Amino acid sequence: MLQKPISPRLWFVTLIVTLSLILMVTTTLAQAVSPTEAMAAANQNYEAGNYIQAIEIYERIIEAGVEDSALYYNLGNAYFKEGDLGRAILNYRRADQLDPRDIDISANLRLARSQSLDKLDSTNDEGSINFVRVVENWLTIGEASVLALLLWLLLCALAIIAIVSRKFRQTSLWGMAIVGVFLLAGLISIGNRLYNAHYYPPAVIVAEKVDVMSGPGGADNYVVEFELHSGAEVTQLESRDNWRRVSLPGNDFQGWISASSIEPVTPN
Amino acid sequence: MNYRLFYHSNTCRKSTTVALIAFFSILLSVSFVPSLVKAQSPITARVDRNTITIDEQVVLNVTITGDFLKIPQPDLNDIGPFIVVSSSTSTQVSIVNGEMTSQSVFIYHLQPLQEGELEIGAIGVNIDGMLYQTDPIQLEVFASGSPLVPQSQNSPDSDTPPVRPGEEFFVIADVDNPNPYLGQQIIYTFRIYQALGFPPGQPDYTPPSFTDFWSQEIVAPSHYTTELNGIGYTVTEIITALFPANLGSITIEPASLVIPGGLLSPDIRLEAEPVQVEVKPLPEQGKPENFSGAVGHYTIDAMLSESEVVVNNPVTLLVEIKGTGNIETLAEPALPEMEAWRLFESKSFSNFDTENGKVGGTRSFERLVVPGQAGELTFEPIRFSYYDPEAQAYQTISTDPIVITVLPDDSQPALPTVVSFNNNEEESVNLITSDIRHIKPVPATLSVGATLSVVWQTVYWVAWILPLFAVVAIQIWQQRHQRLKTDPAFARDQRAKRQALNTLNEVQSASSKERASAAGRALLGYLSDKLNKPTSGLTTAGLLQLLRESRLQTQQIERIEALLNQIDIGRFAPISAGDAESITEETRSLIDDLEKSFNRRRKR
Repeated sequence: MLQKPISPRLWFVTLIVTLSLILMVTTTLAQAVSPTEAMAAANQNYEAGNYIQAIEIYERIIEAGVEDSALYYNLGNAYFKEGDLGRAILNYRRADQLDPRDIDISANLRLARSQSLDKLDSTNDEGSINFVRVVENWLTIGEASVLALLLWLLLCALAIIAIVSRKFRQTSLWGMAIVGVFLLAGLISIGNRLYNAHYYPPAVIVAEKVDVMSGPGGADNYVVEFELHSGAEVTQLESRDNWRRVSLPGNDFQGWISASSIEPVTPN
Repeated sequence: MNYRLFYHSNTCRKSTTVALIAFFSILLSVSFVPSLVKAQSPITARVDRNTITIDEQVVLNVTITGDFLKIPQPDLNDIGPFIVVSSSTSTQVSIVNGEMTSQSVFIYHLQPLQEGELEIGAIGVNIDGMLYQTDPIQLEVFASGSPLVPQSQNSPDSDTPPVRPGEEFFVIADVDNPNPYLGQQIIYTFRIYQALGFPPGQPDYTPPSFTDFWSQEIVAPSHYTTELNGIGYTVTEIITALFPANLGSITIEPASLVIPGGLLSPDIRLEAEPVQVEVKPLPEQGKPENFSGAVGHYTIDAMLSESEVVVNNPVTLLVEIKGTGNIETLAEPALPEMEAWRLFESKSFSNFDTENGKVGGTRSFERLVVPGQAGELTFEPIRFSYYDPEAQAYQTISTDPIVITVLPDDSQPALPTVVSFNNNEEESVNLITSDIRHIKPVPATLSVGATLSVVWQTVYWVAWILPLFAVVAIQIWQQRHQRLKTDPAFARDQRAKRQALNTLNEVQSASSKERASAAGRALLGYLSDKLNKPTSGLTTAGLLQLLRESRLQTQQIERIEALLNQIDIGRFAPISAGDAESITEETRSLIDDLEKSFNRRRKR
């Protein structure tokens, strides 16, 4: 029996289908690399001194939507080793937001800040409520929200006891007063953090040196009021085209810098 | 070239003639003073004429030139047998390319006290502690009315030939070295020759463009007098330092000078000849690796702003390169590789001066450096190479090593203490250097999308709202509970329907008579509870009266009355099971309707 020869058109179709399958399998394999495996690879690069490769992988993991304090911390370390103080501080700040009680993050952030050229007074918190400050330094905003909910449930439970039990009514009312104060402080803290994060988001200078202008434009129209260097931590006040209005801690110095020279601590 | 003139005169005693003489004397003196100035002396003196009669006055001009703002006063104590009749002062300040020179002319009208050959003695001036003096001036004083020998206006130059047209002004430009190396300093000199006695007005100098050169004007123009072909000239030199930036043959385009004319004479435009310069390359032989193009003669020095610093705190490193050459373009010397130091960006600035007619100065580089470890650290020597055209060789110079004490950071957490078990002596651990803490291992899970899901967000907010409802509900229940306990009427009202229905249910399987009787008890008990009246002694008529007073609907009252009649019949006359059932159902129905009516009435 004679076999019919395969036509060139069938060859072409077969080739296309095969290539498509290979592509699909490759893509599937590529996607199959989990974030933990990728981070392990990045850590190996870091250990080997290949900081640029490590940075690239850490950044890709973050781009994929992973948010983890250890990831940001390691990325900050890689940037620090590469001499990019601005992005090191930026990622330490991001790690600190996710895990404010981690002493390693605090230590590295402190060390990186000590090497920043611009010595800024970031401790201008006179008049603020200490409890609020403690909550902000020790709890993430999610943890603070859960704590506030627990306090609210406790307050309601005490209210119910006060309603139904004449015997424990007085004790419950005292308990309600104490829990109420903490709950109020917690809510103020959360509200303050949400407000600041939305209207005055913190940011870090990532350019080596940036001229802070008196207006949203170049030297043709405005004057250079002062200079900031990589790692300076600022507050973003306003955004206009490719310019950002920033203020330094204490709000004494304000000015406009180009958007490319700054990165917000809370990723967009 | 830019001239600004400031005149301020004080005294002048008097006549119009004298004032005019003084005025023209000022003009003449401003124009002619350079012809009498000795090149190095800041003070000169001259008189308007050397022969006068006893009743005439001679005008003495004393000129002091320098770069000072406050002009010192000349000392006229030894002028001889003359009286100073009047005096005035004029000051001329020239600011050329940012350099200032000042010239003051003191004009004295002297009256001789005797006839004969007199001498105006030396006039001194004290400048910065140095005493300068003029030469004495001889004067012949005749008796009043004697005919005078004619005198030249410019007595020192009285034997000079007359100046021909076209020789009053001319300019010359040249360079000191027409064959320099690339980057080597050469001096371009533009000389303005002005015949004595021809005031130049305010000349406007236009320098060449100096394409292919770095250029820098050295100082303000200098003046001196000279003689060419028997003619006296005042020479003004404008000197510019040039640094060739390109190789090969370069032509310096002519510089020009425009002397403004008067009302009847046109402007005079003078142009120097172009100057040819042949620039040769620097030799390749012996060129150091770190050579960055510096040509001239230099020294280098470096220092740190602190001799003691806390680890990880910045200090300022200042590197200064001094010498003659193109200071502005000197590149920062490369810093040695040092692991213990972190280096940050630098800034630079220059200061210029002139030494032996050459431009030089200091180029300074400031840089923040941060020691990364504690202890005695050494900042390694910084090397700098340049080509010395005079020695025709490359030179490499370096700074001395800088030793600095780096203290450990006290703000760090307390250092651990190591206890020696051998001798029980405690030794503190010295922090050699501080570095960032190491990276963290991979966490067990790395979640994609750390934000809360919609379900959890819903649960979270429901968890806030639910307890509030619970508290409100329990509060309402508690209030009702308390009222039931404390308000019997409310309690009877609330329990009335339930008790009535219980009464009816209890006799479901009883005889017809008993069921009719139970229906009667249930209805009366219900109404008694609702009206908060005792059952005993309550007649049908009394009950109906109470119901009317309670503003119950007439239709319902009639239903109650009809049902009570049926119940009475059932109690005292035999009735069928069907009738009993009918009575029971009617009782249930009526109680339901009454309950609704009472509830509506309560709500109103």
